[in-house]
Amino acid sequence: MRISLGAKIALYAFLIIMVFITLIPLLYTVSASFKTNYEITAGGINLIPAEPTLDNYKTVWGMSGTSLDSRTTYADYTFNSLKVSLLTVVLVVVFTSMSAYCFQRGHFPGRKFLYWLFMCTMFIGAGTITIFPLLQITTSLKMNNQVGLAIVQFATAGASNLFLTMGYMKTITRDLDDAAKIDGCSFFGTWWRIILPLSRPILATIALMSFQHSWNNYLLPNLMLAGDQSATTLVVAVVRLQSSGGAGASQYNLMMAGTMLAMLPMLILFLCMNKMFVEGITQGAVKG
Amino acid sequence: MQKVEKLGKKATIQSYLMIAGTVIGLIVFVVIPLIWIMRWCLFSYKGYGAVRFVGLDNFVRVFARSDKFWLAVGNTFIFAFGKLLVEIPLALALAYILTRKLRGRNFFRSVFFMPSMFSVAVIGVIFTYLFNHNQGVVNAVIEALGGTGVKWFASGTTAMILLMIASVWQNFGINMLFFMTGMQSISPEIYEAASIDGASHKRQFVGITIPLLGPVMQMVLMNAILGSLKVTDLVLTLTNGKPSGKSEVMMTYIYKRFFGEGGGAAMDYGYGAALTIVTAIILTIVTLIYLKVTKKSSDIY
Amino acid sequence: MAEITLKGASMTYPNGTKALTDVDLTVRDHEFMVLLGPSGCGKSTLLRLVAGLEKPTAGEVLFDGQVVNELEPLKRNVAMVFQSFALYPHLNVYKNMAFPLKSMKLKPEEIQRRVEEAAKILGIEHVLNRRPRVLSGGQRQRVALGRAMVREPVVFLLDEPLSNLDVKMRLELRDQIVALHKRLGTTFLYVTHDQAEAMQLGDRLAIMDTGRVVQIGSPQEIYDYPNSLYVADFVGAPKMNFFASLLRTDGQNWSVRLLGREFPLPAERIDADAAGFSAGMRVIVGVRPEDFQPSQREDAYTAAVGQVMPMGATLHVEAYIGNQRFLVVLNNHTPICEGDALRLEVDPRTVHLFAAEGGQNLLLPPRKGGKA
Repeated sequence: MRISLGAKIALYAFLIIMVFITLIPLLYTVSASFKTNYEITAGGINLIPAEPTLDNYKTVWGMSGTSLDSRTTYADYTFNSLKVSLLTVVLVVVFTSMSAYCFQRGHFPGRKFLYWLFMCTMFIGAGTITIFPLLQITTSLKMNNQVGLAIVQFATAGASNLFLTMGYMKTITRDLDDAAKIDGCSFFGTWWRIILPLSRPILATIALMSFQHSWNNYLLPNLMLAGDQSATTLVVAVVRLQSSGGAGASQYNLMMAGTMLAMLPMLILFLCMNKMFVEGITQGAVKG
Repeated sequence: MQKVEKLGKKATIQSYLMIAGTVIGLIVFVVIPLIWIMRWCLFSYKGYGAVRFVGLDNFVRVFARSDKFWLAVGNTFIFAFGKLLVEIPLALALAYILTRKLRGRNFFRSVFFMPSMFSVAVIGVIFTYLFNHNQGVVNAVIEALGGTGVKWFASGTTAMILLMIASVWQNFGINMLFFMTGMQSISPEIYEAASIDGASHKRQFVGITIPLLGPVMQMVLMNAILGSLKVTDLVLTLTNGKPSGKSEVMMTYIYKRFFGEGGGAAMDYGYGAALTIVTAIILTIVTLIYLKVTKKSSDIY
Repeated sequence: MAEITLKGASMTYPNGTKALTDVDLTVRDHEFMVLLGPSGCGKSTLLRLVAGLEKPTAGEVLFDGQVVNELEPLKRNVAMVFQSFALYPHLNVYKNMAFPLKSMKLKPEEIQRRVEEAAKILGIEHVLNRRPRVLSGGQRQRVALGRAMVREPVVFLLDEPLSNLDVKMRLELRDQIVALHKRLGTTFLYVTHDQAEAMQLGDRLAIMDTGRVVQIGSPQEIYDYPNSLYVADFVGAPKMNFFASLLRTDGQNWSVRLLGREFPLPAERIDADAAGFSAGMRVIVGVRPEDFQPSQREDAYTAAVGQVMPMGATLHVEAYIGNQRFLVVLNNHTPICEGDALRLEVDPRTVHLFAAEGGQNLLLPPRKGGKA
């Protein structure tokens, strides 16, 4: 299709304006994170800091989140986020792969009922709407810790992981299952030795998205880890900079340095694995 | 089958063991909370003191004496439809442009998609800075252009607009991606045939792209509507209902009934549970209406 | 090595599809048995029952007289080769072939010995380190055969193993499978819809139709005496010619009208009572294209020649008598072209006679050594 030159210029102008709109909030965040508090308080639209400084990062990195707990720093919160997210990823990948395999390949009584139960309750129940009773349960099970958080994040992750994995497994010919069975594999053995290694591409996608989801999660870690401030995650701690009674009370320079810390790992993942994100997200929504 | 099954029995046992983790997680963290809600909606309990059976009183209270809840419901719908009215056409237009052969296509796609990488809560924090009355960049720009700065957090209207801006900014790229995937699956031959027949770009877009995008559109809109109605984190970290509950949404309102509002409203299990059920019903009704409407319109094509 | 028997085996899938109905079949030890039938006739299901991938909903599967209905595939020690090859894509050729041996918990040295030996026999030693993806179709199927061989199974089950290959490779591998059977002396059960393949490979064939085994016999027996219209139609290339007709009798001998003329039926192959003969009964006469012979006799048929299709060693000739079209196979030296008149005769001993209703063969089987 041919586009006239005028139309082309208009298109590019539109695209470039959209790029600006998209990037400007991020650029000003970066900028503010290198500005002094004095410069921010003065206001203004200058993007390049007058006196660029790394102090904000140094302060935040070594700062404690609350006045109640002075030993835990943002470095620790970062490490907490990493621990929780990696554990969530492991749980999601292992259990999603197994249950997708059972739903897709299994022939056990109750298969259809369980699948139906999963789909229906996930639609209504997973997420904020039941967060209070969920917290009651985790409290009574003494699960309000990082491991418990990872478990709950895995259990309420929703149906799209299962959809995606089942869709992928559908493309693996059942002849392989039969061959494996004849070669002496049990139902479990077929998963472990054949289906699991063959579904690595989709599991990598799911792992990436689960990591992102866990890293970015706010409400659940905020509530579940409220009892142990030293265990909380980076995003929760960063949001707390907004209202903390401690050192960083509403100091935008520190807040923006904090948000940069929380966003940087996602940005790096995004730049390295752009394609995988795009594929994972579009498959999840369009095919699911 | 009178005989005891041996062949396949082992596989059945293994299936149950393999699926156990997911099923237990589902029951404990999804099904039981739902049952909890259904049980508590009939009781009154303030977190201390006696548990009283009150029948449907909680629902009476929701419908008759909960102006603030219904305000929040109204806000939720205004938020969802207001932002989608901007977000969806914008995403569609960008997708349509970027499915052409265009220099820098991947760059544009990546940039537009990038904001959806980040935590909603963190985006909320960033926008409190950008739209801050005195120190924020947005007002500085408005003033530099000769206007007067807006107190974004001071009125319900501007607070709602702010929420919509932040949400559109974060999500238009992801919807654009969905539409692009849908458009890429439309065979180029159809467009070629249309070009030969002399159809203009505009007519091709309206006459071919939109109708053939039907199923994808249905999915994307569905997710976008439900996602917007369930908005929570953004509101909590950006406006937190300011000023005085005028930018509260359904989910944050329920959340605060359960967890209290920094010493504000008292917690009430039964009332919170009733609110949850009413919200779930609202979401289900929206879904059903949506499915019915889209089914009708897809019948036309 | 094993003799495999199915006794009254039936298979009904949970959705109600009847894949097999009351199948009785014995595959003798060392035998090469071919299951032949069109797609969807249940031959693959039968193979899966023997393999232990499915369990019959009724009846029994026996290995050497032992019921194995509940036995897992590994314990039956069967090997299977699939149409899709079913090689494990993430493992190299060596690991693919060693896969079943690891399940059998053999010593590493023994595994290596067996894999290398099989690879040598099949001529795939040079690809042992490659992944299946990079191999040609023929190589892949050789690897699949190797994976089956190494475990020294009691029976080889082959499910249309050559259908995904090109013609040249198919013929080459056919010979290799024959050689393999000779060398190993194991029982082979081979599923195919290709009757030429079946004819070449099988010691015996079992012809299947909609979940039933309808005829079992050596390729020659089945070719000479298809017991039903269905089998007659399915076996033989080009296909048998069929002519609708009515039975006639002079009180002693039976005949039919064939191509507008009285045609005697061979008396020694008629048991009129058992076959339920009656004058005027509707029958179908079958004549194989190769059973029409050029003739100089007075009473020969005269046919008009239609299209002539040279097939190399033979000519396929389309012939017409009146409105009746049929096919004749002639020696390729026959000087003939479209529009010629062709004089033909048919030896009464070579014709087949089927009931128009039911399709069963109405003649007695030819005596051994049969055809003149």
